[in-house]
Amino acid sequence: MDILDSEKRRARNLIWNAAGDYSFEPDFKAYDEEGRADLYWNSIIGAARKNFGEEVLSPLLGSFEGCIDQALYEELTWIAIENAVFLRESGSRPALPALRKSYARRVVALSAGGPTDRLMDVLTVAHFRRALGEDTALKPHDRELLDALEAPQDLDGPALAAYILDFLHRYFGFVPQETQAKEAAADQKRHFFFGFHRKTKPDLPAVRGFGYGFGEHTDFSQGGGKEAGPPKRRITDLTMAQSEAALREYIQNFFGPPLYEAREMSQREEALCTDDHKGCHLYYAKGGDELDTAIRGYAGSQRRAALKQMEKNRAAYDNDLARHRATIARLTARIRNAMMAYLQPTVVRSSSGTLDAGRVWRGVYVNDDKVFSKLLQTDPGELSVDLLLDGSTSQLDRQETVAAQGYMIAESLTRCGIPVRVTSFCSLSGYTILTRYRDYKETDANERIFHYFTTGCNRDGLGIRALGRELEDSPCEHRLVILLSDAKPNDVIKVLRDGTYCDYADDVGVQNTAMEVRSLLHRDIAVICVFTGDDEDVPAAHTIYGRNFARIRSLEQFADTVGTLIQNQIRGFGS
Amino acid sequence: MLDFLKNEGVSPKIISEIEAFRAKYPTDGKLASRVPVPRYLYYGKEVWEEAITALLCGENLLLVGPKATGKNVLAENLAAVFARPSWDVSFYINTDAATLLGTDTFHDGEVTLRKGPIYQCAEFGGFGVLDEINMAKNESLAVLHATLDFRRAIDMPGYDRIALHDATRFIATMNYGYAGTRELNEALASRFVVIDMPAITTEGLVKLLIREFPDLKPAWADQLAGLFQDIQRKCDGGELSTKPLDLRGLLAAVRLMHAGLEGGRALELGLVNKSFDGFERQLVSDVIRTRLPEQISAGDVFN
Repeated sequence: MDILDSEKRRARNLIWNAAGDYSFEPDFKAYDEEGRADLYWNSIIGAARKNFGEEVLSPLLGSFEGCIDQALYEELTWIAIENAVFLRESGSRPALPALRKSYARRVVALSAGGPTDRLMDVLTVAHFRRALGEDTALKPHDRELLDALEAPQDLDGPALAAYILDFLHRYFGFVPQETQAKEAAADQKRHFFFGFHRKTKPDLPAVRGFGYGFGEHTDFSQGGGKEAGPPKRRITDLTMAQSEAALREYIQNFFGPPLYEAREMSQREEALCTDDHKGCHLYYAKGGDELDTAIRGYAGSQRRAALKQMEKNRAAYDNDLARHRATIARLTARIRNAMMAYLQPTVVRSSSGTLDAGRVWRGVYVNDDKVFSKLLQTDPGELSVDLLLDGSTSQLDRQETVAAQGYMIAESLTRCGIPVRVTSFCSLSGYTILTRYRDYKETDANERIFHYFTTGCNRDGLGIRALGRELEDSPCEHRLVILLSDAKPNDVIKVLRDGTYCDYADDVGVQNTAMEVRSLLHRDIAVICVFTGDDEDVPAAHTIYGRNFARIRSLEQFADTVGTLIQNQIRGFGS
Repeated sequence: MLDFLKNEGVSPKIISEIEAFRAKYPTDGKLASRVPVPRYLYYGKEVWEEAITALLCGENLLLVGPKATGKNVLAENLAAVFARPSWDVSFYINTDAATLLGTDTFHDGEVTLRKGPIYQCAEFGGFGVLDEINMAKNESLAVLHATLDFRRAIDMPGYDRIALHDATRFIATMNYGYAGTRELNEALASRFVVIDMPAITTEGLVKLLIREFPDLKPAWADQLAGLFQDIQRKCDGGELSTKPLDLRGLLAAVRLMHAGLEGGRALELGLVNKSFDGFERQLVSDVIRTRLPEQISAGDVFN
């Protein structure tokens, strides 16, 4: 079952809403038989967290892990929880009775299609028949089981957990850990006598049957989960121990020839690598496609891989050329419209304002009081845009997308006659590398953006600070920076905080990046972000960019979303 | 209004100070129509006390807060409490000195001054409500500096310098989030005392709903307030834009229900459709569906 991202987000929202808490990532979400977020169950999951607490539910559901009957115990537990939560919440949420009945009717209807004697199905159908006020038609033993399963509402979290574990012990002989140990021992014995293992630990998929729909587990122990933390790679791990000069040579071989002379670069480094960025280095590269065949070894192979990525970026763009072109056309129209609407000053005749001496006679002789002129829109001055692409490994899976997005924005701005400069940044072994793909005046060099590739980490704060320095060269009065970033700063050079060295990641990285963005804002440089990251990093993007970021979910909304962001900024410049 | 303040629990000392202010500066009969008669009341004792005390001390107020925190309601309520005529100025990108202070105009063959709202406030001891002050350019607001600080004067080039009436106060509102807004510069911000407006509480919202719709059943007032808080939390969580977080929209929806429109449809018009993004609409709709029953008739909601 493929579950759409939008439905996953919807399910999360339903759970958060019922829990009244948006600070956690739900590790279990429910969907109906067609993969749509289930209104009723997700509300119950959220309300269960609110009523009983994650500290109770997680260990309870975790206690079944590794059992042969893990799925059965989980489903039974959820029925028990559902009953208790419903009884507690139905008073405060008038929608719940109707949602429960509607779900119950669905369960009964679906069960009619294929009657089964599987215990879980029998109990589920009977439970929801009861919710509809119908006869459960159960055998006496099953009725007893169901009566015991339906947990009362007056239990608090620990009491509920005890109630459910007692139920499972009484009717299924389950004792946490003991059952798992027994099953493992039995398996050992079986192996001894018969020479094969029975699979004791069920290999449950992340999305699996739940009720008459699906449940998605995102907890790693439940078969879901994400890979471990962000990449932290030092090239020194991959190459031999290097001196500072060798490291710089390596960076040059990998990223291409330098943009500035060594002296100028070291001046910039001295000025910028201070405070939280002390100990870091800067390298400015020309984003060309030169390949020095003399370069061998690891650096050579990395360079060749980077050049190969350029071809992939171009091919991915060409594969969807029509849609990309349409997006550029729409974005161009949006920006042009904004320029026309907000940047054009108009002088109008008016009955108040600056006196136009040449027209005073009209007031006296023809009773026309419009003898004044008024400037309705002031000239806002010229605008330049700097596009900064996050070129770190966390963008690895999105390289083609980021290149295409960067190209589309640059091309649209170019078509509107707005000077645009495009740079990417990443960091490697303490170096933050800024690669310049095109400068303000290179109006025919947008294609170079396809030279974008990702590697290493990203010290967003230093990247932004370095760009801030470059912005001093802007020929225009108003400057706008557009970042294409996943708001996930991470670098190997640590930051000194209260006497201890902290990783430049998570909160420390986010706070530093936010501070650098604020310093641009204080210089009247507008900053907006086209957020390319995952859901979990949205709060970080909020911290860094405030409301000036937009998330692109599909190519169709790209032009409108980015257009609105740019339009808002242009509107601001009109003052 | 003073009775309302007593009910809100505002300190009797503050209320007696207001009475003294009102006695000292009686409302000019010609301007009585400019003294607002509030349609909505602001609920929140702390904010009331802070705002009134600041105004009594002669300070200007800057009310800062996101959408639906009652900035304009409070500003209007304050003018009513002090029984002062008020002038509303909605700031926009091209607001300039002429819009605020006044500009030359032609009258009876002569160039004369057409007084702007700030000028009139200064003359008549009015309350100037500067709405969305951060929509305007900082440079054009510089003309207000002398008016807002200790100088309390307006000096129009070509005309006399006038001193502000003692009762004149300015209440500015701003919201960082709206499109087109900007940072207020320090020089201007330092001329105000700033109140960070808290989001409306469930209790305040229930009071507001009951006052607006006296026949609304209390349980339903709780549910509608809860619904609004659910949306508020979703906005705070960054899952929704502030478009559907629309208190006016909620009140409009209740009004539509009162007039007989089915509840779900009324909420769709008042809240859901405020967003133009399909997915956002879906999220708001989910919030409503998981809180309120599917079919809501006026009979369910009102006595």
